[in-house]
Amino acid sequence: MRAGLRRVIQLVIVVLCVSFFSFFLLQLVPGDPVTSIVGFSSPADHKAIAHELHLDQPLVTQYWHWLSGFVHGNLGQVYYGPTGRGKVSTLIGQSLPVSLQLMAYAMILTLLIAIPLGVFAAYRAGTIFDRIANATAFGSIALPDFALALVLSYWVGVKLRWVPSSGYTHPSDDLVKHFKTMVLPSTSLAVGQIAAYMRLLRSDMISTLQEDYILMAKSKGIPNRRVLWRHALRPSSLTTLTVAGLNIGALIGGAVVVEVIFGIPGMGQLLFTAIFERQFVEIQSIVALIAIGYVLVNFFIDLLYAFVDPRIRDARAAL
Amino acid sequence: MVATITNLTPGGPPVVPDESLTYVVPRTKRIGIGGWLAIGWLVIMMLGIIILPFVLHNPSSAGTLASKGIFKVPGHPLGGDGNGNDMLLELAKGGRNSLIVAVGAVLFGLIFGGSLGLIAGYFRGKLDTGLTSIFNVLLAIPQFVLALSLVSVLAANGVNSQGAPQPATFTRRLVVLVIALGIVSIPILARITRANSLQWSQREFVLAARAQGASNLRIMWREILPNVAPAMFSIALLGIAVAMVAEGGLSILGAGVQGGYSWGNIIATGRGQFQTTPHIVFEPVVCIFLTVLSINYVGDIVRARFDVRESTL
Amino acid sequence: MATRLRARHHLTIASAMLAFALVAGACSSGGSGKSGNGGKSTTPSTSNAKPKEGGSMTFALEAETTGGWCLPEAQLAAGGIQVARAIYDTLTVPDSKGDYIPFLAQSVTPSADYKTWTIKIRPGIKFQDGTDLTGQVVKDNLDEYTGLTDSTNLLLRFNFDQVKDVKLVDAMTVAVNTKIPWVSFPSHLYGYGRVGIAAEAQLKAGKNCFKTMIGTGPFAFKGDWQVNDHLTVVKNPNYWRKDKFGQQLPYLDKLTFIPVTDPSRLTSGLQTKLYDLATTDSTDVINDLSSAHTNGTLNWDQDSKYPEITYAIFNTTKAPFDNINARKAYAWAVNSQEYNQIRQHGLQQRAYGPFGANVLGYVPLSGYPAGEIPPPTGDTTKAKAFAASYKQDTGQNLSFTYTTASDSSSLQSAQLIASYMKKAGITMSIKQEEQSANINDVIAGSYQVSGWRNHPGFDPDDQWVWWHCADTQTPAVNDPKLNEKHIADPGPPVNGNNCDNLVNFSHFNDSKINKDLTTGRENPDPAARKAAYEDLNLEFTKQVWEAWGYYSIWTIPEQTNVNGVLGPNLPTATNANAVGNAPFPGLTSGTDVSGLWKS
Repeated sequence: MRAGLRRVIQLVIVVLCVSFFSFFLLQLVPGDPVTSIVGFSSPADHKAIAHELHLDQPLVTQYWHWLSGFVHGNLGQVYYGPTGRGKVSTLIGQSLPVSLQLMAYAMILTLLIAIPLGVFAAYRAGTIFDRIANATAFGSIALPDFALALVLSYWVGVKLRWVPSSGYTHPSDDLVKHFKTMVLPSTSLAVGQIAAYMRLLRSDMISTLQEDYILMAKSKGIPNRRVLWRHALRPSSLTTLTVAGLNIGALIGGAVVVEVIFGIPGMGQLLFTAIFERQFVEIQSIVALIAIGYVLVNFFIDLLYAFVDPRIRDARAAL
Repeated sequence: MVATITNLTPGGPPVVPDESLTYVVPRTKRIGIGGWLAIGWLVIMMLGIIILPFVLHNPSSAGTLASKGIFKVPGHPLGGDGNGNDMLLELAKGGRNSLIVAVGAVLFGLIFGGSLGLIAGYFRGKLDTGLTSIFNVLLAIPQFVLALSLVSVLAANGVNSQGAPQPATFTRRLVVLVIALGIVSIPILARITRANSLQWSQREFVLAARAQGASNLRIMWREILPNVAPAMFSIALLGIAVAMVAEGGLSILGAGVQGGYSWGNIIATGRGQFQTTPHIVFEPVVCIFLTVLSINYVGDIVRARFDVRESTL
Repeated sequence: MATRLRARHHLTIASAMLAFALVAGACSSGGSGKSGNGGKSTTPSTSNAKPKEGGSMTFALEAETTGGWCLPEAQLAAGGIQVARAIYDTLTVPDSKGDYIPFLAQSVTPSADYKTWTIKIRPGIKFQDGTDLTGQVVKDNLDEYTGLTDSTNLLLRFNFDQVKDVKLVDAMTVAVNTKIPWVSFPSHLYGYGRVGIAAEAQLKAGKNCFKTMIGTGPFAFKGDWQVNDHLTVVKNPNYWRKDKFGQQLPYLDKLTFIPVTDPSRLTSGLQTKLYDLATTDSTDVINDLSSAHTNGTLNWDQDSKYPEITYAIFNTTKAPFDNINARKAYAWAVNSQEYNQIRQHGLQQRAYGPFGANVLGYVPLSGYPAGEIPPPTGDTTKAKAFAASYKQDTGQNLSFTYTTASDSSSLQSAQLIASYMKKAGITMSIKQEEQSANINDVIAGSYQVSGWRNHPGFDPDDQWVWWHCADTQTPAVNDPKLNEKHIADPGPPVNGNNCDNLVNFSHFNDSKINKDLTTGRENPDPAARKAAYEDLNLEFTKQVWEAWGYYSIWTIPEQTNVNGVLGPNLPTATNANAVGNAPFPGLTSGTDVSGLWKS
């Protein structure tokens, strides 16, 4: 219980630090932030915007304003010239679901392929199949996902014209078109993940398969398939869970580039546009949101892990 | 949480702790055919980067090579880019900047991350807790997003006295890129250094040195660092590959070294005419892939030799 | 202090004028049919098949209009104008011959001295919010456009700066009084298609004006706008126009505009039928789509006769381009034929003046004195000679900085130009910046030469604002006596930086050009206008005020089941149905989407 409390406190501290970092990004912009954001403005407009951003106040006050705004869902504004305004929260509200879709598809694809492949490679460790799978995985890890995205968009999108090489359709508009536009981006993201999960699962399964209880189950005459899927996979999947958090970090980063390459209007595209249009307030909010989301995901994976495996929970509490 | 080497590739798969390379990289200390191929590519690439810019020349008329594909024009095996420059020459010039960024970033990370990790591992206690939590915070932001936001803000255009935006110069962008990717690699390098220093600082010869009244600095420099170095360098090697990929991703997002060459930049530039002249995009992609593959392979061999366990991170 | 204020004045005003001017991706834009059929529609969009009602389409545009559509102050490029034309109507429109005919207006008639234009409003038209189109609304709109009510609204004021006032004559009639005889005033009521008439509710919406679009146009905006993703408009069931069969316009129920900035994404989206139609001037896209067009899987409409011009804009107030030899050296150094092959897939036509083939003032090649225009392949020897003359004049080697937008295509174009300069012994460095920064630099005059795109092919009087310049010595235009004298005796051209016109970005002050522009604006005789604009064209060539590049050619690629792209025929004064002249074939200001239908 005390360990739990300690971790919540740790979580809060990390979230605060991350949010301060995001907030501090605007301070790092060379030159005058207001001019950087809106370009030219009359002195009155300039002053008004500086006030709006609390730039006329001490740093700590600025942070407090920013943080309390953030907590209350006020993610700041995008500036279209000195007078035009848009809400960052609206933009994020539109983009976030798209990114979540993309990442969910990539995850589903990853698990659907990596688990059977990993299990089978472990079961057939040392065979040709295993070697090929392993070498392919090793190669895939060296293939950046933007490279894969470019290759896929050229061969599948441009040459074969099976699906659009870029663009996005909302699922509510046309479900078939939606999946067509999402196939290549999710595949680009999934391949590296598949390689990582597959290799991990394989090595873990190999050692699990050496365990006594597996040998026992085998000797009892339980069919191989059942031993593999029911007895061996479950403990091995725990290890997979431990790296899931980190992999999600890689997934988020990958989604940024892949969304831009395929023209998917998600958070990555939003961040890209924000950088291009010098919407630094928007950049702050997007980075903060992504980082906090990532921290939370890792926190819950940790909790889940401890929950699933009591031994770990106890061991960690002792740490 | 079991820490592993995270990865700042844009979504590149993380390098997982793993004994499973048995069938790819033999866990013996032999280099093997694959190893020699990997080393071969790295050597050829380095030589190319150094020599080719002096040897190759663009044709006198831009029209002869513009958008020409592979093996279409004699004497220019890799074809030309959109403006009629020899692609091989472009790749050599681009590789130089890509390598400068990647190596520079990792050196930056090694110097700062390495010394912080050394301090944390050697002194332990509150200092260690403090530094470790800083590393954790840095790791709490997805690495590529962290690098992207740093570059976008630091390399943003300045504003001149009349309020007109002034673009960041090429050198400035290069430095910013090195620093941003360097900052990102700090926590990773710091953590491996710390983990190893923790072990070594308890060894007899360190205790002996301390008993003889050697200063902390001297012990860290003379006794611990030499022992920790192999682990640091094997991870740094991986870091170079990772930084190279990150540079590519950033360039595609327009946050790379603009106005100069790099592999990522060639990709970004070629994307406009992707349909008609895909070779402009695919050639640098292949370069990045082969380089990263080779570095990963060599890195595995190095780790096997020095018996570096990533799981000690 | 004065200079500072002035600089800021420059920026505020002129950044608003970007409505029309755009940095050309160093001529990355443009494209004409390889087949040389430019200007002719290749789609059977004018067939007699009875259009089918209903359905929806996705229309890809080259860019998002982040600033929205508060028309009097909006910055609209081609994509923005296309959206505006779906929601709003203008008082006049050009017809198939480029003549301006009344549209929302029933008649637009000048007084005998051309100093009063009386606009009678077509009766029975309603805005999308149900309010009536009246003389008062039109007056309020024009007051906004001319900056008469709101002095902070500086956008289109320059275009209308010779409007004295706008008066309401009766409930449905408005009179515009001008300071000078203004023969071509109806073209300004169209204003590249962007002078749409908005409902009172939008004009009064204040800060929300930019996203409260209410017009009389064929499609109504219902708030469905996600910046950088899509903007959807739905059928305006009470639209005032019907087609020639008497069927209500528009045909479509829904039209979705999607900004697609990445050329490869646009190409792919069209190939895979993600988009029904698009507007583009990217030669990369046109080239990539040409095989689909040839084998009939994709149609397109294309226009090269009413084009914009891509060119290198010189700052003639600053060294080195305040010297004519420097400008000539630049113009002669570029191998425009090779450049066209390398950068534009050989698709664009070389421009020798600011007017396209069907635009008033166009001068065919034979009209130019020999040796006055750079040959297609450039002439390195001559460029070197001009550079040497420059050195003689100034004692300096010719070197300069070329400013360009930061996209990859623009950069490549700039690099190619640099290689031509190098061959002629001229040093060119490249300054790359974001497009908005590039535009701002040109506006502020802190550039030497930059890639640029402007001067859409309508009535040349529309270009007055970009080229006219009266320095302090020039008599005021409303003093007829002095003015006559000035016209009779044009002094030598000056590189004037005390120009009264802040959007003449090159800052030349050429009395011949000033005189020609005045003639073109004031003289009702078409022959005299033609002669004046041809003279202006030749003067540009003689002084090399700009290094003309290419005619940009806008293309509308469309799926084979898309019909009616150019829009239905125009109404007449007495009949609102499509029984009048055919629509304007130029595409720089988009098309009339009311006629779109899917078969």
